[in-house]
Amino acid sequence: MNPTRPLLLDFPEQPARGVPVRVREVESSVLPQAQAARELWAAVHVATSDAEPDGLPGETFPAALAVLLKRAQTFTPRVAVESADAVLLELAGSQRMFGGLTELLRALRAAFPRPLQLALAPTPLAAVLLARAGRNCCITSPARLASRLAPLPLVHLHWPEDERIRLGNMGVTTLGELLRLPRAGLARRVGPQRLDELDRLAGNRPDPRVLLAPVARFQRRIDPDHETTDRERLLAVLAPTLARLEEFLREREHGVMALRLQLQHRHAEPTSCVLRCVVPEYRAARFTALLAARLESLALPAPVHRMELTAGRLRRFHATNASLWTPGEHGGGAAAAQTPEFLQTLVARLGDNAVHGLAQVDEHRPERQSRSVWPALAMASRVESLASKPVPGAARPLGLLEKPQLLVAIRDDLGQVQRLLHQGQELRLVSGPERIQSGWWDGADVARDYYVARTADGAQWWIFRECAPARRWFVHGCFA
Amino acid sequence: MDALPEYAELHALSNFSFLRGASHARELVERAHELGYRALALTDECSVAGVVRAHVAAKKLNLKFIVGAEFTLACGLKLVVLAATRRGYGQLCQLITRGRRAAPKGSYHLARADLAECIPPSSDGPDCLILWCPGEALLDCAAACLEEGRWLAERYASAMWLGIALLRNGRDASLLAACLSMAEQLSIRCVARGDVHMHELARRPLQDAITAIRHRVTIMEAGRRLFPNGERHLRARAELARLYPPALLAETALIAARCCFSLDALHYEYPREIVPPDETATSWLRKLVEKGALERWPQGAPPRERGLIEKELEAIQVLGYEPFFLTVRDIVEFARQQHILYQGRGSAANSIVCYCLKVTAVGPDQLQMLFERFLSKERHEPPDIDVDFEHERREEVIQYIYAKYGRERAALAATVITYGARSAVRDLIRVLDIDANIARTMNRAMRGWRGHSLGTVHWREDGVDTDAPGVARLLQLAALLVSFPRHLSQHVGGFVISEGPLAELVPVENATMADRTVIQWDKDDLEDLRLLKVDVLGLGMLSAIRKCFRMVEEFHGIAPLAIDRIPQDDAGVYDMVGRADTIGVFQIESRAQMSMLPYLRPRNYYDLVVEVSIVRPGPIQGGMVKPYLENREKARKGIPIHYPYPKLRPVLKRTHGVPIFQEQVMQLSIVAAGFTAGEADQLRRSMANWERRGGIEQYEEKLLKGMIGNGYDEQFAVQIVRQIRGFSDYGFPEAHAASFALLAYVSAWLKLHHPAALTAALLNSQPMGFYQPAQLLGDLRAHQQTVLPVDVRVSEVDCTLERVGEEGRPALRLGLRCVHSLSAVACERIVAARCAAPFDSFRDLGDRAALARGDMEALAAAGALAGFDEHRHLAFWRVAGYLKPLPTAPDAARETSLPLLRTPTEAEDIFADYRALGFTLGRHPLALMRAQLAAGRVLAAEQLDEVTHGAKVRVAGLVTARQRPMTSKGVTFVTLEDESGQVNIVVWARLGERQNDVLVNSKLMEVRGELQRKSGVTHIIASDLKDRTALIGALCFGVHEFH
Repeated sequence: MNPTRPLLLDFPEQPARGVPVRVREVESSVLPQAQAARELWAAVHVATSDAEPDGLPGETFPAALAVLLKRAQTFTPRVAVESADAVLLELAGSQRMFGGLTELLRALRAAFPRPLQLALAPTPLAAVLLARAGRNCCITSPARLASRLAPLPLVHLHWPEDERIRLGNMGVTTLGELLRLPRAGLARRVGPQRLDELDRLAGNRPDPRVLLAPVARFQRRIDPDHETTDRERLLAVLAPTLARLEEFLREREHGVMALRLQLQHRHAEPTSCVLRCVVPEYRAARFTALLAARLESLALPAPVHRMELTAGRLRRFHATNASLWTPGEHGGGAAAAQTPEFLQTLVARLGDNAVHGLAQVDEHRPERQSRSVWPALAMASRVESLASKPVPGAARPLGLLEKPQLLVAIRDDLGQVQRLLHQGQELRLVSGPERIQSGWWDGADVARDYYVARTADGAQWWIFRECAPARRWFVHGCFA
Repeated sequence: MDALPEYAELHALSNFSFLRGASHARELVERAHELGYRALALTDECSVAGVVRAHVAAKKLNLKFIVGAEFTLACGLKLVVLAATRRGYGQLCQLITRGRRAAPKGSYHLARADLAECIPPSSDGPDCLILWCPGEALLDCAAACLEEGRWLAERYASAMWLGIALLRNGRDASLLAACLSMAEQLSIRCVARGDVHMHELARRPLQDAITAIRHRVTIMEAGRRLFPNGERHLRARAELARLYPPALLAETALIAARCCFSLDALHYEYPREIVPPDETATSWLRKLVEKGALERWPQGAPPRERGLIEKELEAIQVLGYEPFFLTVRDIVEFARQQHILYQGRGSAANSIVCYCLKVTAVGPDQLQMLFERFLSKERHEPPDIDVDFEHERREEVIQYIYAKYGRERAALAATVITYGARSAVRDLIRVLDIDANIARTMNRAMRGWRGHSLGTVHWREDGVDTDAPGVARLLQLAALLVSFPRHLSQHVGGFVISEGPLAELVPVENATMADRTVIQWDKDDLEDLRLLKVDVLGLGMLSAIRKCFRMVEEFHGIAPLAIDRIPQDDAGVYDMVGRADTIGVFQIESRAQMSMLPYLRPRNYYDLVVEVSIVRPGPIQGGMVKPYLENREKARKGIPIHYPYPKLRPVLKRTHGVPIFQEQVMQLSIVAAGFTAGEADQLRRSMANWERRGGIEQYEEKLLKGMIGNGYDEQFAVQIVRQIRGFSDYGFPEAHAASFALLAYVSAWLKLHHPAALTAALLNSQPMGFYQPAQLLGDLRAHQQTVLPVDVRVSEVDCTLERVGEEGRPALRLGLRCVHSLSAVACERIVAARCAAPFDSFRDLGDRAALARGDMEALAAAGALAGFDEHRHLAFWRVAGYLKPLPTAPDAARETSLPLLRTPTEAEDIFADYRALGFTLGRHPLALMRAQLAAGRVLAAEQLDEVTHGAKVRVAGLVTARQRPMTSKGVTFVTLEDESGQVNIVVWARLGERQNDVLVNSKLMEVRGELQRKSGVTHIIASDLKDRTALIGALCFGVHEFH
């Protein structure tokens, strides 16, 4: 009953230059076949090589396609992607809305100006072929279709080249010549699926299309029955909406990584509250808990009279079963599974900027061996970084100074360093040197000899001397 | 200085440890010498591919050089093996061979047992010295190391050291302590080693980059796969003294002193089985030469020849090269017996000995001067004989060699494949994380490069900002990476054959091709060590000539033809050559040759020899063509040529005062500039191989000074040097030219007297030569010869001769092999089935020859079924529906009705021919479009004769050749063909870059440009190119791409 899966095109408002647009399946619907006879299809074709369609300079094709699709969706919800070079619109239902075919055509031309090719025909394939052939025409009567298609060269069928050459060897170079061949003989020579294609082209068989679904986004406005600053109350008002959100996400088997709640006040700027999740989340209970935590730390300047809940981009989500065992019981519920929840709560409480993940970086330069990242990333790399070998051998302090600090070096007449002072205390070299020369590729080349040094009070420091002529001394870290 | 400790580096990798070592062997040697090292060992990973270069460099600097290799065994045991004696070197080679042969190309696999077997502990002093290199593993997993050490120490205690590399990684002190205690425990000695990967610190970026290339990651991702610092370079002795205890450093010098093997000690022994048991090589060679002489001169050799024979035999004996000549003779004798056509060339090939041994067919009466330049006793240069065999049967010869000498004793020389500018840039783009847009632009700019050097690329014109930091860094690194070896490939045919196992002389490893093995040295290495090799090469023209001989013999029923039995000095042949009617003729068929022929007008064999040599980039760039022509004109008219310096007269007389051959350059340098014979030989080598030997620049000043010193006019000297420089790119040795000229003459003679047979033979030997079948057939038909179409009822697999007309003239019948996409098996089945009974329908053909539908379609598309159906469309429709008959219901697959298909138009027939065959016997496709083209004021090739120099013209034609010679500075030469002839187009680099797509992709091209007629040669300097391929639809045929 449900053979086709429409597509959702997920693209930014202004597609970035050359960024391919991801097409993903979301929802299903089917085209009623009974309508097939009365369909009117428009095909918009982009000649990919020579011409760049108006207003789309320099786009690589997929992004341009996205723009075309957006425009197409203003005409009809029934839009389909035919191939990388053509977009289809089913317009039978749109004629009246535009006040007749002529007006519709005019509007179409305006939306899809030359050098885009535009053709209308009763079957989608015919429309595409005519558009590819550059016949900017509108054929509404199925009876006239065959004669209009006949002179078209076979190349627009986009059949493999060797198949076209074979047909050429039989003296068949146009659609007319092809359609004239005996069906059985043709099927024997080019295969039944080609015959099927020709039937769909001529309207002798239905040609169901995969339609695009509109962009799915969850956005709700909630008006509390009275204005309030009571957080409990606000959460209670939100509860049904969050439940609907959960339903929305469950249906689509997706989660969101971000949720924005805007709290509007009558006499103050709205308060914005953004939840960011560490993993895609869909559960209303989680959202409620996180919002509660976040609202608690939020100062509301005035009573809230309206709320707007906007879910972020949908993300594919792998639902997991709740673990059978509670933590600690029979080794069930590994701590790892809890970490996201803990982290999320932490982030919700302390704010985005307060919680960082620490990722180990495979690098020789000490100051780049670790890096703070958004907790989600740290989570992702966690397993790897734990498993990666610890740096063998040479001593590394746990803490590094933000920036190496210059040491005071007391030199003798010959320029030899006699004493090194750190915070007034003399340093004695304990071990070293460890030479690190690395990083020429990103403009932060280092060339240093590291030593472990000790002050009289027993503190151990990690210091280095530049290999380059100035040969200054720095302290870079402190051993616990 | 003397306070510095002695040091010898015993562990150093060159760039022959692919993508590990970041310096050339030569650089390591030079740097080690600069730092005052006592010795240097080159220890590439399971390889000695770089040692010859290092040896040569070290010899020049008088630095002690040690041959060694580094190994990591399958168990993880890492060690360095140094060759102390000749026997030890043999063992090292055996070990490398075993490891390399046991693994796919480019890798090796060795177990401890292999090591123990290949390097047995020796009773009378060690032959190999072993440096055990456990490295930091000693700290991290001491127990495993102890076991390794014990295993080694049990076997090699007296010849083994623990090599300690202190590389400032922060653990030097603990490592040193651990090493010393381990050594004590095992009672072995310790020694310092540098684990050197580059000759100087400055190579660190390159070392990092190639490490990233090796791991296939970007340099940012490489992380700790890179070395933490640049300590793995040849460090100054003062610095080493700070790091190592003095005893460890002193030990290096002791070890170096124990290594007394030098590559100079390698002696090469030719196989002995080529001499019968009761003969010596000398006596056997003399016998064979005498026997051959009697065949060549049944009445006895004339006195001059006699004298030469004696002179040559004496030279051979003095130098001990008899086995070499005997080996070559043995190989060609095999070819003679198998009726494989061959032809010897090379400096030593054109000797009377080779003539008597039937290695060559160029007799002394044709080439008087060549014998002056046979082996020279003074120069002690190894003889050089290349033998060309029929390209389709060369494999038989190779297999014969393997069978006779065994794979242990015969192997191909290697060819070192190095980074070119393009591959270097491409690999570096990958690892340096260059912005995607810039990377794309750079890749686009490099499109169509081949053999270009980095300096010649117009980056800026292609929109690459070479000042952008990333790009500038990339180009700097690329400049260093260029000419780094990437892998060893097999030489086209250079065989090394030895008396003992080859693997004791040089390691043998697997080649890419199954059942092929290569040695680790290339031909220059062999030359440097004066090892002999025999070049077994393939030549398409020899295949064609043999096939042509057989066809002519059969058709005319005449006695067997042979290269040396072709009538000489046929005036008709020279007339034809003088008209540049040479399509299909060896060597002188190229566009450059054809444009020169009407001027050079060769009248005898020696003129041909000159012709072959003079139309080369070297002599052309050296400006020798014009003076040669002028002087020869004088000579033909009997006017004496003025030699400003009579001393040069004997050198230059035979080429009318102009140096044309490499040999003359050598003689010039001796006579005029006072070079010794050895120096002249160096000069020749550097001309032949400027990349390795540093070009002739190093000799230019010496040449100039020498000549001026000897009283030559400066202007004259400069001119000579300029001419010599021309040779450094391309110049022919006279002996090569002589052999080539002979083949040129033979093929020209066949073209004149048996044109259909020659064309058939050429078609049957495709792919070869300069022209496509379409041009060969077009030329044949232009000579009023008949060409019959492919017809499944009569065609053989190959093209054949058929009698036509009342007088039974030979006509060329195209063979089934001409049909693209018809399998060879199908061809043979068709012929076999037809032998049983003729075919009466396409169905009969399909059933009896058991053809697949695809084969039938290929035949129908080629018009080869024309005998069964009224036209091609119908034939194709039928076969496209052909199904194999079912045994139970043979008629079930039959179709009864036929659709009404239109008869093909002429254009359709022609294009179908092109698609299926690559040529047509109908009209030229351009003829069909002439009206349309004429409307666009496009001229036909023949109309250009009426156009004056400098006029603006438009022409159009099928692109039959595109050439971008390396010497042409980016200029592309395009040949267009229309129904009336060929047009030569010159596309300057600028235009070529701007219209690269059109230039590269057009099959039918229209060109607007200026007609230029210079000394009778007409070409068009293009100013605009247009791709008119659309006019001919999907006309499909091969275009010859030359670079």
